[in-house]
Amino acid sequence: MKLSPPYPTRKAWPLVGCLGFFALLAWIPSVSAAEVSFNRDIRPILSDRCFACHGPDGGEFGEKWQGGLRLDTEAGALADLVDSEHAIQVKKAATGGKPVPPRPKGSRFAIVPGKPDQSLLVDRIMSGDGDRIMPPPDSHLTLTVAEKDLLKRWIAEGAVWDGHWAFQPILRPPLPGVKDADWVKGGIDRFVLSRLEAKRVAPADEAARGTWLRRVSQDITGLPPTLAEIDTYLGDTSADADSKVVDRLLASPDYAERMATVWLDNARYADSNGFQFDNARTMWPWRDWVIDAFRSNMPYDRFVTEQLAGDLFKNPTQRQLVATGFNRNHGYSIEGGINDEEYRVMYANDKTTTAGTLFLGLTMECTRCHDHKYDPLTMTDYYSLYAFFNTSEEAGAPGEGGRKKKASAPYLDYSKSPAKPSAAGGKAAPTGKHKNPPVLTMIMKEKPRDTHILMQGQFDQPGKKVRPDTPAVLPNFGDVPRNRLGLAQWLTNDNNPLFARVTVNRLWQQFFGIGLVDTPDNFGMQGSLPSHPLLLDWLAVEFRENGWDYRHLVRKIVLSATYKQSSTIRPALQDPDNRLLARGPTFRLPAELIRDQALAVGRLMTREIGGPSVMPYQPDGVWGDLNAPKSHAERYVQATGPGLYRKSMYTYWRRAVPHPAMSTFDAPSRDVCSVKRESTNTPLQALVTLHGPTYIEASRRLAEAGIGREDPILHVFRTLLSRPPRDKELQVLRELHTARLAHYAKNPGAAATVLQVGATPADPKLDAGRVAALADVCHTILNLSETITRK
Amino acid sequence: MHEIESTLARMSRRNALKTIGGGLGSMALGNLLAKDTGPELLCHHRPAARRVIYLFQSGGPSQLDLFDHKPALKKFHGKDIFEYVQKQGRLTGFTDKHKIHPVIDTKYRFTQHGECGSWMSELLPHMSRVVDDVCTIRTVSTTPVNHDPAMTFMQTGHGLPGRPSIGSWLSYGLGTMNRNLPEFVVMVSSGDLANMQPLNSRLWGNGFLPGRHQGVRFRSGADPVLYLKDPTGKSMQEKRQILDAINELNHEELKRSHNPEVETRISQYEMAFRMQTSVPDLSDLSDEPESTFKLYGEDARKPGTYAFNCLMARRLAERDVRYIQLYHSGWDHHFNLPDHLPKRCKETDQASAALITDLKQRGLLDDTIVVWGGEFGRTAFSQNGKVAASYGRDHHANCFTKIVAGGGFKAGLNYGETDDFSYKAVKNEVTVHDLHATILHQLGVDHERLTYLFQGRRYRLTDVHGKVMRDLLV
Repeated sequence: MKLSPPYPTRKAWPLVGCLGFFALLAWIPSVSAAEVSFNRDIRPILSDRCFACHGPDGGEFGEKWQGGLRLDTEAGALADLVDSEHAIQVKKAATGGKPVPPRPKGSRFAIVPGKPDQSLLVDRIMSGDGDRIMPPPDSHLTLTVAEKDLLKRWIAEGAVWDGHWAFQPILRPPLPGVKDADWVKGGIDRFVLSRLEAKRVAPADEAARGTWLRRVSQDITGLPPTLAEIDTYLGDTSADADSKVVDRLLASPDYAERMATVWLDNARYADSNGFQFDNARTMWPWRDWVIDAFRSNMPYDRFVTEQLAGDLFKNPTQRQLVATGFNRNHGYSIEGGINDEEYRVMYANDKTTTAGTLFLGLTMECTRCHDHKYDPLTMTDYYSLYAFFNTSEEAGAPGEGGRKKKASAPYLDYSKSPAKPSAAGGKAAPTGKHKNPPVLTMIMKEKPRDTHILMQGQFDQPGKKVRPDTPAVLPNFGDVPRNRLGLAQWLTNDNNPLFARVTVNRLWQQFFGIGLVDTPDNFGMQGSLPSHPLLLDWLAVEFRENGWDYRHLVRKIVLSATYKQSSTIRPALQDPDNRLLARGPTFRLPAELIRDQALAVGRLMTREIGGPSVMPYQPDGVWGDLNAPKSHAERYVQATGPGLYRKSMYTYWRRAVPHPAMSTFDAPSRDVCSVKRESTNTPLQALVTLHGPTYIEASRRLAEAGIGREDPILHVFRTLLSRPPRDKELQVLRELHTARLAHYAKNPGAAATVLQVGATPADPKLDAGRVAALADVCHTILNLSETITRK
Repeated sequence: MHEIESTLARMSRRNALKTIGGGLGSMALGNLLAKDTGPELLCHHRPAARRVIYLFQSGGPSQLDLFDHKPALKKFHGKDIFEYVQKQGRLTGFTDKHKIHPVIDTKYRFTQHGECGSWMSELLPHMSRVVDDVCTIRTVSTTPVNHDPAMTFMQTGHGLPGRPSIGSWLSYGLGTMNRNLPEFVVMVSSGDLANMQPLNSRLWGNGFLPGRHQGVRFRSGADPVLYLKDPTGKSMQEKRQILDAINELNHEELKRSHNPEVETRISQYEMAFRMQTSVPDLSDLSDEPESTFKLYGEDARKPGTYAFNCLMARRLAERDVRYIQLYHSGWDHHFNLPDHLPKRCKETDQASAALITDLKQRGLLDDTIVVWGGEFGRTAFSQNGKVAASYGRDHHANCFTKIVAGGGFKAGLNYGETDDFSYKAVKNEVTVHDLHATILHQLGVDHERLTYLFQGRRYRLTDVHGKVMRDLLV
């Protein structure tokens, strides 16, 4: 909606005109002449610097809008501020039953389209007066010269308003034309190349074939390629060699495990309750459901629907009930003396904000206590969404057997489940007889309950009653049941502008290290703009129209020319985060993959899918660090045999005392939903891979396999890095090897010390000194930056 | 580079970025800076203090039996004060349904100490001797009334999980002052003390800040830092040989990839190498004279004791570790307080006082803030409604005592007044956010400007609250 521009009355002229003159003097033409875009250039400034006082949260009557000005709507921004302030007074008076004050004379306008010199906004942002300058000094926010200039130019160009990009319907964008059509392998590349060509930047060269293979193997399966896989691929010169690799990888169970691992962060999966004594819980049946869903390539809309609302299906299967454990993954407290209702509300909040982050990319949490400061979301919106989750049967405080049974009701006994996923790892499914101990896993069960807005977010201060509904700014809820099942239908409806965008953005982030929107948790006003908006929409439509098929989308991404580029940094482009996509992505491997890689190359990994979480090597006393009294302490019983070597996604996840190797490599605590892992670089990480028994044992095991080879160093190097060493590298390693051989020849006891690390016995047929020396070489390579980096 | 110089260098780099204008390059570089290359700040003003030692007494020590002298307790001993307390805010689920809430007098004698005339309980004879060196705040208030949220609130400024701890904020804001040790170290007294409350790692967690800002747990025993010890038993010379090879190969990779992460990794491997010497040096007490153990007590020889950790705290402060967090558990005395409280005091009293004295003698107290206190206090009424010699007290959030020494806090100051039952502040309340704001202020940080943009919002340690309590400062 475009309003006709209002004009100031004559009375307001002198002041505005005079200040406008000084403002003009200060005007410095520092931005290029390109047209100002509201969504790209203006709203981010208004949101970040102005909305805290002039945004969606106006309070009860609008009294929070300083000077009557709200800048988050077009009508508010262009209104006569005298009218706006008066309207607030009228509202206030009406509520208080007081007489309505008369409207003061005159008019004031923050924005007069086309007339920056008549716009108070310009006057105030340009002001040199500490009492007048906007934003005010006590906000600690400032506008740069360039930003002031943009705001001014925007007003001069007519102050054109536009809807927030992420709330617009998703339409399939036409594929852009490009000059270098030969480079293009698919739709993705057209969007990327057209932008590069506009910037006159050439794409990077293709990555070496071995590098691509290593990259795509790590991304899809979480494991490096084996030597046999490398040789097969390098020997395959057919046109569809890449696509054969991708098909093989996508069909492997490792793909399902890798995708599930990411989802475990999103869904805040853990094996403990998170609060106080952080006792054990049994949610692994839900985790196995996730793996199984990815194995069967369950369509994503179905995947979400079963997790959100499987219990509301007509005659739900046991597995669909297990899927609803998604909603129960948050922490819960069994602390004595807590208030039942306070915690029950807290759990419903967690379910609500998780859905907000994961399915809508919105920071719903901000609207728990007040209307949103930046986004068009109100407390009513929050509690209406919350109402879908407020009807869970669970209690807040430790209910039936909360502590003893390691599950809080409602739960189901998974050991009796006739539909236990057959995929769950080699073991025979239970026969249905009740010989197995109960495996109580938490699920959802509907229990009708009224929902009220909670004033200031306080559990004991109910306000007006609300019904289950979705945020008013998004498409109508429609004619679907007002429960979680209806919510899932609303989410996955074609007209939902956020669900598909948010999902494909996270998938892109998984493969490129950074999302097209680099704030995957926030598609609101304070979120980043997409680097390639049309590509994001194209991926979203591609995903939706192909039956929400994850594998289809992964194929599109990894078989693109964009993905195949070399990841060598191009310093001249000054694009360290690769927002232009003028090179391949590179990032440090996630925590799980660093350990899994060592297990794989060391021929240690136990390939078993699912089941209870396991307890691999962990330094003594880590769980003791929780400092729980003996009566409440859980014990870490280190596995013997296969449990030591399962993939890291099966490592027991205790929130309060996480496995140190995981948290050191930036794994989140999973106290709350997390959709992005930071990647840091610390000395403690070096200590994990230098001294962690897994890495030493894997090095020794790899050395044992390398001893008999024609060139052992070559063999272990290729196994670890999927490429042959360069001359310089070989020279450094050979020198080290020679020195280590000499050392162990002189000190046989030292070799024995190296060999005894880890539970697998050393090969008695091999010479200890030779194994230890080669193990040191393996360990050196295992600690290289390149080894733990996905290139 | 000296801290201030490096700060200036960063500032000029950041200003340079700002003036480049809104191009993509500068945006991306800005992100890079914020991400991992170094601390964000910038001291906002000249700091009075450089480091913090936080002696956290977990469980909620009873201010009524230790610090807040209330003669009225004797007068009202056994009388029900339910009518009074129900107007003063939330009770816990333990006692909110009790019909009577009888006042229970303290069993312990209070006397005045020092020139400042501070009232202290007989349970803390050593702390009583340093009252003129510390600032005693009797009106600290918090919001949560249960342990997990109250500890989380005290350490992160918010009762729910997910926010960074104070030490992480300071690591992020101020960076490190030393080359060989982490900037944020955590130590916990070991042993199965009675009435222990668990210590969730989120209390020293980085929340939404990058992981490198999380506190590093130093443990008692031979292997104070996880994975510090090499199970293959290699000598430092052998380790150097292997590290040289790693470095050389990483340098090759750096040349090829131009990836600055490789360069960072090279320097982190070097620091990991140095830590293998610096950490054992730190916990090797053979260079401490006998007088040290006289001061801290014989317990200071035993790794894992509170006294040992206090001594370690001093050694860490000497080595310019920015934030040193100690925890001592077992202060949760719902029942049989007279059986347990004296034990906790005995374990901590001498060493707490010794640390303050020791820092003062070494000239370190001037720029080190030492904080002593728990997540809340305890009620004037009896936990179980009975008036017995083996009394206990429930959690109490309205007012409790914290002791702060050094770093520009006024020595010998007695601050804040509570009502007759130490049930609420009647003068000079200090909220948790106020305390955080004041500590940050002394470290040169404006609590309103140390922010981190997460999910579209600029988060602060003090949320949207907190004021610097200038009354407490020199």
